[in-house]
Formats: sequence, C-alpha cells, structure tokens
Amino acid sequence: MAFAASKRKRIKSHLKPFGQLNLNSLIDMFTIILVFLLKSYSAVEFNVQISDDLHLPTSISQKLPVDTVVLTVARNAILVDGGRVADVDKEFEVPGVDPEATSIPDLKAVLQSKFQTFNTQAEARGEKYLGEITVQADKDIPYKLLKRVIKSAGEAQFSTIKMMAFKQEGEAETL
Amino acid sequence: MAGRPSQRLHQGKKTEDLNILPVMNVFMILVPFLLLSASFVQLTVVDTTLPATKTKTVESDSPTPTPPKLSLTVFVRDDGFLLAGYGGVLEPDGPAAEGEDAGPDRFIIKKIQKGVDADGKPLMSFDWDKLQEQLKKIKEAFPNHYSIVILPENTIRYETLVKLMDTTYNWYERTPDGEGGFTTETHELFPQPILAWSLSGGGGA
Repeated sequence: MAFAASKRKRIKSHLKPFGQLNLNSLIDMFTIILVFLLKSYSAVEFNVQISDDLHLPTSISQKLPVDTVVLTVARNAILVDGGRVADVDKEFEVPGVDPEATSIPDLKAVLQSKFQTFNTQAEARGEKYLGEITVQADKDIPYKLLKRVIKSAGEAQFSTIKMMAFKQEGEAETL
Repeated sequence: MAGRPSQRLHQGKKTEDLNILPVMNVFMILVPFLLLSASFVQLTVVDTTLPATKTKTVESDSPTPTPPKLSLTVFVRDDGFLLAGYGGVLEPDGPAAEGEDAGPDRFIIKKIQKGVDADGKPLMSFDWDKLQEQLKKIKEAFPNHYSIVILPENTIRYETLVKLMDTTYNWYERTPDGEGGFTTETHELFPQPILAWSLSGGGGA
C-alpha cells in the first residue's frame, strides 16, 4: 500500500505553480549559432566598407587576403588604410592633378611614408619588407585611374599588388 | 504508528537541476559579439606584380634583336583581346590581321555578342572561352612559362581586369563523374600576371 505524500511535500508542490522554464531548445540553438560563428570567424579581419561607391568584383581566386597596406579606390575618393588621400571626380580624374601625369603626387607621398615605416620596422626585426599592397577598387573604376594609382604605388616601391575581390562560390561555374 | 517509508529505492533519483545560468550568460555575450564581427562575405585577392623599373629598359632595348623567348602579352582593348607572343613590344595598333591565325606571334580575339540590351543594341562581351583556349595552346608549347603581361586600355574596368586574371591564372577541366555532377581538375596557366601600361601617351594612351 502506497503512503500518501507527506504534508510538507504537498505544501511544496503548491508553492511552485509556474514550473521550470525549459531552456534546452534555446541552449541548443545558441550552441549551434556559436559553433557556426566561431567557424566563420577568420583571423585576418578586413574592413571593407561596402557603400554605393565601392562595389568589389567577384573572383574565383582562392588566395586569402593578408595584412598589408590597404589602398582603396572608390568612385569618389582614394584612401590609404582608411584615411582619405585624394578625391575622384565623376570622370574618374583626380582634381588638381594633371590628367597627363602618370602618378598622383599626394598618394605617392603617403605611400612612400608608409613604405618607409614598414621597411624600418621590418629591418629592425631583421626581415626584408616585401612591399605588398592590397588594392580594393570599385568594379567600374577604369584602368585610366587604376593605372595611375598602381603607378603611384610602384613609385613608392610597392611591387606586389594584391587585387581584392569577393570570393565567388562554386569556382569553376563561369569558365 | 507507521514508520517512515524506506528511502532506499529513491536514492538514485536525486537529480539536481544543472545550473545553466552562467552558460547562458556567456552565450548571450558571445553570440552578439560574434555576430557583429562575423564577415558574411568572403574576400580573396589576386596577386599581380608591377613591371617595376624594367619598363624603361624594355623601351630602350627594343630595337636590338632579342632572343626568341616568350614574352606573353595580352592587350585588352575595347573591341577584344590581342595576344602577342614573341618580343612583347608589338604595337597594339600595329598591322594586326584578323582572325585566330593572324600570325605566329599574335592573335586577335574579338568581342562576341551576348544578347541585346534594352534599346535593341547588341551587347558585346569579351570572348573568355576563346582566350582561354588560346592560352592553353600557348601553355602546351611553353610549359615552363608562368608570367603574362596585361596591358589594358584606359577604358577597361577593374572588374574586367580581375576576370581576365582569373582566366589567365588557371583553367578548370570538368569531367562528368557519372552521377550527374562534375569533378573539377585545376590546371595552371600563367599564374604571374604583370600589370603594365603603354609608355607612349602617358595618361591618354
């Protein structure tokens, strides 16, 4: 014969009218999101300010971007490591710079000082500075402007140019 | 008076609820932080090199006879590609004949029509397939050559350049795997693009 629950237990069960909130599914969800986010978290973070003036093209290249000086050529400005260096007008010319000139003096000066800084740092560590530069350019930038930008980089002794693009999924589809 | 019921059978059932509150706290902090810093677009880079200081020497050396070594150059023009082989100092507007077999050292690959636009004008597109076919042939003849000089005209857009470098970098052989899908094999073409610009005419070449 079963015994009736003690008076104390009866009182206890009456005191908990709400029951316990079941958090299991919430935790499951959070764990999955957490794992996904940690997986997609890349060590090298690149800040690409997507705006109307900077749409990167897509590429099937598999190379990962590395941490270098970043030269951004948007439709309205040229930036080095996020700092505005020169303006770009509607005709993709730089105001105040001779259109016949092959390089852009302001840009060249900024890049030269960057190169000096990094070169000195590398030398202090006993390494050789490779002079790599990452170029993010809007996909509609004509070569007319782009060549002057990379010429400026070349004159500032940057010799390897990394053209940045969005990675295209399913690499061989378009070819 | 009845004695207290035996507790022996209930000993194993004494399960304490796990205190998951700290875990939830950690999750609540980590998830928004990672969501903010997550990059949902994957970036990639295409390596190119500049001709560096050699541009001037090429110009001054051009009249002297150079040994027949491949100096592969792609001129990207408004109307298509021009592939130049030997010497590499061919004039982009020189006496280039039409067609694929225009000469032993140059090929013209005209744009092809890809549909029409809203006004009924023909939409022209670069003939990437033909370019890659041609590059494959050159690669077969020069398996140890890796560099390619890219010489675009002023109007060529950055997007076209990136696509061109994708085309000249590798080619992908797709073979049906018998289950409706494809296996893709990657073959190297010319993975060292060199960006150049014509010396004549400065800004307005």
